[in-house]
Amino acid sequence: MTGTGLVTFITFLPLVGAIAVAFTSGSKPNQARYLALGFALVTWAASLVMLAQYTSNPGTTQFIDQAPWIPAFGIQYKVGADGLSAVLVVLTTTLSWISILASFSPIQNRVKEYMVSFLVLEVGMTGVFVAQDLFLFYIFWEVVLVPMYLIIGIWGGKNRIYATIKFVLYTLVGSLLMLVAILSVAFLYQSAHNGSWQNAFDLATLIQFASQGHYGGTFGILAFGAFALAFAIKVPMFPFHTWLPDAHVEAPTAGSVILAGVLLKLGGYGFIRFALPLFPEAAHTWAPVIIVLSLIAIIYGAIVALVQPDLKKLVAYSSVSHMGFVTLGIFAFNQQALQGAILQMVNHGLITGALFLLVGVIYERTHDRTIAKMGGLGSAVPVYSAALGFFVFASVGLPGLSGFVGEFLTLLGTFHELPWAAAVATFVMIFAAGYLLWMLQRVAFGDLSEFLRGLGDHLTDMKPAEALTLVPLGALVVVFGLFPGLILDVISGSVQTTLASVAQAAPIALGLWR
Amino acid sequence: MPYDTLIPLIPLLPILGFAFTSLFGRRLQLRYGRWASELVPVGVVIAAWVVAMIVVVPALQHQAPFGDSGLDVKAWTWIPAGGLQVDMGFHVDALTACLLIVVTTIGMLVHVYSIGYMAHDRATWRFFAYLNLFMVSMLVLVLANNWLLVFAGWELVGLSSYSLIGFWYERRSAALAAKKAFIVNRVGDVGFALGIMAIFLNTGTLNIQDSLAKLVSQGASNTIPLTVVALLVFCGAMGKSAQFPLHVWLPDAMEGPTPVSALIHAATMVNAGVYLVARANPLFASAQDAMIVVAAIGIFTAFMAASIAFTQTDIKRVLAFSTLSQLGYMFAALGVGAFSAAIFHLMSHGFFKGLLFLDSGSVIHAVHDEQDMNRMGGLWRKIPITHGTMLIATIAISGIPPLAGFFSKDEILGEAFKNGFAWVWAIGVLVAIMTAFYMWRLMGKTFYGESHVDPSVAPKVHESAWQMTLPLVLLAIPSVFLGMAVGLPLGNGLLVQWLAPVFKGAEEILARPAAAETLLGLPTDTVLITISVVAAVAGLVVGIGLFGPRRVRQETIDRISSANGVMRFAYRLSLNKWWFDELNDLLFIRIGGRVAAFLWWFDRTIVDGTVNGVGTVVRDAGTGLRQIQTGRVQNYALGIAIGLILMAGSLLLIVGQPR
Repeated sequence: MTGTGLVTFITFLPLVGAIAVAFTSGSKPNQARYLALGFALVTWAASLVMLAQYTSNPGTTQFIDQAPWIPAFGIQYKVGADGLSAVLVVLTTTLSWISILASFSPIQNRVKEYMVSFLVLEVGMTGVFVAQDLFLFYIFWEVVLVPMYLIIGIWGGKNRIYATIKFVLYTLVGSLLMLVAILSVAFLYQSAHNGSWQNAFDLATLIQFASQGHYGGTFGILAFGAFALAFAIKVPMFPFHTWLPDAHVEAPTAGSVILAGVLLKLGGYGFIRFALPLFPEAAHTWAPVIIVLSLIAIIYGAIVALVQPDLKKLVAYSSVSHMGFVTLGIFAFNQQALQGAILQMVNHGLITGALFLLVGVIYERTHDRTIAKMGGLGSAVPVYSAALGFFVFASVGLPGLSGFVGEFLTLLGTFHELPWAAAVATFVMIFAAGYLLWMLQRVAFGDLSEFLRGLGDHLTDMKPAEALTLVPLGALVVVFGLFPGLILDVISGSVQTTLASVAQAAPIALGLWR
Repeated sequence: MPYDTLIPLIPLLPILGFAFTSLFGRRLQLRYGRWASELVPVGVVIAAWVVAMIVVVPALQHQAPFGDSGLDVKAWTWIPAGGLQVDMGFHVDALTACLLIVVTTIGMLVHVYSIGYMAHDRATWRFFAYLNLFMVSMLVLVLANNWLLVFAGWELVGLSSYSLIGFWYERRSAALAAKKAFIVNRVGDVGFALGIMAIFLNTGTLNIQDSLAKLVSQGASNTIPLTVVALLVFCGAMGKSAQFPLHVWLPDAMEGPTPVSALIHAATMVNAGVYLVARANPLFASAQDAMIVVAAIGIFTAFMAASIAFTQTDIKRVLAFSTLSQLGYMFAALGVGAFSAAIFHLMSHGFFKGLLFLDSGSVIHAVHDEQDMNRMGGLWRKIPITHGTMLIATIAISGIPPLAGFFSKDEILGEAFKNGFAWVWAIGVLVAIMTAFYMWRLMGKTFYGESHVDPSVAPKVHESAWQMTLPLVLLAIPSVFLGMAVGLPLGNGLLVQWLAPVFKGAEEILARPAAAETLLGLPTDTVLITISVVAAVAGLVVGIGLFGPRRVRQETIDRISSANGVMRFAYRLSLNKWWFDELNDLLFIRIGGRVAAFLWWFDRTIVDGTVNGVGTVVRDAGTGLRQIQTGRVQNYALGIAIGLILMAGSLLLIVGQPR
């Protein structure tokens, strides 16, 4: 194998951790907990090293580790990271250790298996962000599904089986079509190179091949559609979003954090990394559809969030709305919009992750998430309420906190290309304030509700361990709000590369739309 | 002087105060008492005032390094995104300086006042932390050198207003009012945000000075027409400055503690919209249609709010509607192109309305948290300082010379007339009469006549502590003298000279011809001033007649208000605030709620129903197809045979087709 091994180390260290945790004694859950946390923290530290090294010398894809894997078909083990990957990997490793820490108290049965699942999940997520080979990417993509299936299905709520099967089947439908598209992309390359499979799954090679216009026409439209469906389900875009509220409601807190924080980002990442550069013409052709669906998601998610009776469902629908900004920004094909979309992915991961943690904190005390039963938490648990208020305003997009910059850049860039689309999307500023502040008012303000009063001493304020999971997220939200350049500078190279690949392309005028 | 460090210091001081107080305030208050938690937040604001004054003096006089165009200071690049570079940067010119005077002075006095006013509250540290946060936001708003940073301050002002209105969050009405304020403001903010995007699309920069210069020089060749841009920016101004139809949040905002009403909802935050339009004056001057909209909405709000103030009985709500009305004057001034008159009124109104609110707080304090004027009366002997200062402020707002309000209001009306907006002038004079009337109604019901104070409270009524009365006296000084100090000679006072370079751009574009020198054979100015003064005095006389020391009986007032159908309708219109809350409730809560509920049904039934439907179909198909798997070879053979026949048949058909 050639390369520094850094990315490989980051990707597979959690797997080593998973194996180690598997050998701990099931009767001593704390062993599993601390061992898992330790591995997650080391992985996190390693990813920070990578980000620091990358930042000092930004540019193209770096830290490439390469080895032949299935030479008969040119499939290789090839990982590496550019700015986009590096940022998202750090997001993954950060949320991973926070999620593991946040699971210490809520997860009390099958702790060992839970921790193993989580670490394997981290391998899959990181792998998706670093894979530079389409086949390898697909493998990691599917690896993510299995531990998530278990996490929801075993440690989830009452309706967990329905939710987890829906999640897996839905995602699988999309990804199988993507597999077909991946294979056909490789076949086309192979047939154009006299049957040689050399590098037929290598991403950089294929993008180079695509830029010569080999993936145009009807093939491009269909193949893009297959990729886009997989990513659209993951994001999730309207109308493929209905698995999300169910999965969120049933998933344990940490599962929700990872689901919202990282899994949804896989879709956005896929669009930027694969769908756009491989099929630039088709991307242009499909863009109007995706933009309209994004606008619907932005407004629709916010309106539906207004009337949610359940805290987690409210946050879930707010995710639909926020992720609409991501797809809108990606398909505006504009520097500011795309940078904003990526920033929005990171911010949404931090903020929504924190909101799910906060819902988890209150759920642990009340075993209920019905908003109507809450009320008056402000005077009962002031620290908790202050934290909730902070992240609610971060989610509303308050300037000075990170959510604002991403949203505004997306809108600004979109306005440049499509003023009307931006105008429609901007109205969500009102709805977002509506559903979030209404929730805050009903949960935190007023007199302490009957239901909460009945809990008596169980209603305790935040514990230090819980605060420890939220403080880093809060700090990052402030830092990225004031210094978004920390991320923007890192990703600007990737953004320019992506935009350059779609810049010259014109939409395919095909019978498909007529 | 190193202004490069001094200017960022102005917002930085309250930021430090906010951070310190929110982190340590609670512990300090519990361990050492209130004063310990109040020391830092009050101290930093006083320090910020000192620094601001050091900056303001040379800035107003256009001394180096400020000069005519102002001084730019950049802290760091906030958002580096390709062609878009947004600085964390500040710009100080004479306009900024005027706003700095109002914001830091009243801010400082309100901080001091709050020490007394909040002395009985549980969590004063939290209150002071929010107040500091508000100061940060407002200072960022007026100091920013680019639109996005203005917008950031704009939104943060909204947040601090939200926190302070809802300070007593256990009270449902306070929580509701806070939410309403934030959301209604956001409606305007959508417009403002789109305006900023349009400015960037047109000019490729978000720096205020550069973009304005470009917008004007590009004129009709802007991608987004200037009228649209100006109206979008004005949307934001309407929200923050509570202009019709986005005025509904301000009266409810009175749920907040009174110092908040004085600082935020009278003297500073609500001025942000006026500041914004004044700041963008070249843009508005190049979009004359937008100017007329501004003038019309302003003068209509002035009239509507004044008419509502007639019948309200909550002392703070009367003042809130009065604030709406006076802000309407300012927008009318902006709309007719009288930019420095608008800023003049902004400043004088800031002082006397801040004073009125602090006075009302002192009254409310004296009668133990009673806000209904029907349960006051005869208080003037018992709280003489409050009464005296409130009387001064009332005369000032009524427009009686030589107090501050006279100069600024007269300048607005005079400019409106001379710039050819006779209708604005006429309504303005009418509103002036109304203002004097309802203000005197407030004074009369509160301080004169017989006492309606709760008998158990009456003996305990006493003047407030010095922390509260000192700011009253200090605010009374500019309420009296500001006009004489910066407003003389009329139409070309100091303030006009200070602001001249800022509004030079707009003046050049508008290039109004000089107005006629004489009117009805007399100098125009003399006629106009006489009419203004007569109007103010007329309102005052009627007010004193009905509500003065020798007030007529309540029955007389009832008889007037129900004299005939028109009067009865007018009375109900005023009392019910023109039914705007009911209209909004119908539109957004009832109809909007239905829409949201329908969409959720749609999501569960149609969208998710389709997904589950696909699942069911696949499962049922599987169950159905399982019937075929009989395991009998004969059945399979039959299947194969049928398949073969079909395939062969279709092959024959296809091959047999003539080409």
